[in-house]
Amino acid sequence: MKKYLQYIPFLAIFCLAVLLFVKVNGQGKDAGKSLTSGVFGSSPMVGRDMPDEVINTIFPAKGKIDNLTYRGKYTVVNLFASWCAACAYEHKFIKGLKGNSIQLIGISWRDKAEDSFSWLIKNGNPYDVVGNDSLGKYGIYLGITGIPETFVVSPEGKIIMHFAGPVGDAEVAQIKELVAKH
Amino acid sequence: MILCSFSSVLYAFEEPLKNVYQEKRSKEIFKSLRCAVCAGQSIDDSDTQFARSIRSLVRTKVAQGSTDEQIYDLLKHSYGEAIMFRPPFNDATALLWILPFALIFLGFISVIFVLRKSKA
Repeated sequence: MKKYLQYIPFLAIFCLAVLLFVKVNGQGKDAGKSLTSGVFGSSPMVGRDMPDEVINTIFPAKGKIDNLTYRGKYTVVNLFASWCAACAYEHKFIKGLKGNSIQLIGISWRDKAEDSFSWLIKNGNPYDVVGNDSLGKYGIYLGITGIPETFVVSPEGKIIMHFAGPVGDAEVAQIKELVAKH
Repeated sequence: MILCSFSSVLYAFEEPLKNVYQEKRSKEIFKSLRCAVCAGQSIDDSDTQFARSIRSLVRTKVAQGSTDEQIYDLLKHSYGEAIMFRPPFNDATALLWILPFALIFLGFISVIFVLRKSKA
């Protein structure tokens, strides 16, 4: 009988390992995704209202973006900067979202306003409005971890979709389909 | 060319709060927040744009008079519990905290058993 006692610690370790495995997997889909690993993670902001914060616009001049900006129509909010290579890559896809009764808003993130503005003139500006988030705070309210990131906002001002990383054909199709359905 | 390097320095330069107590408080908060895009670094350690943005927001809120709890709640709203550098102790994470100690303890017991066995 005593001989078997020596195996108890190993059995206990095994049980703990199984328990840990079960617990970790039972956390739910959201647990590991609250922080995006960079590409197409899911922010806890999905389902929540757009932030209350007010930021100035780069384009049109002297305007403001506040939470009223998002009322009454579907909005795609795309965070970008002139220094961001992946943003340059996705730019043609963002242009593809123009029209389709979508309000297209660009947010210049951690960039000098004039640099973003020049970049848009050079590469084409598809946005209806461009906000200035040079210190990056608006992006933080949105729960981003870098750029490019894109949000789809309902006419009630709720975030209904989030893409962390550059959008491509598939994402553009997804967005258009979502907006067309409602 | 000089102008270009100045503009990149502009975005590398961070202005600490003028109030020394507030800046100190901000730094403590930075150390309690996880850098989401770095491996195991706090917001205080990281130089990423993400970390700079968080620092900017925290400083603004501290200067405005927000409490630490309000600031953490704000960031948890945007990022979830994972933004906190130390995982909280609750049902979900209790095992995470206890397991290392449990394993060491069990390892110790095993060693005792093995030693007893070899002596017999």
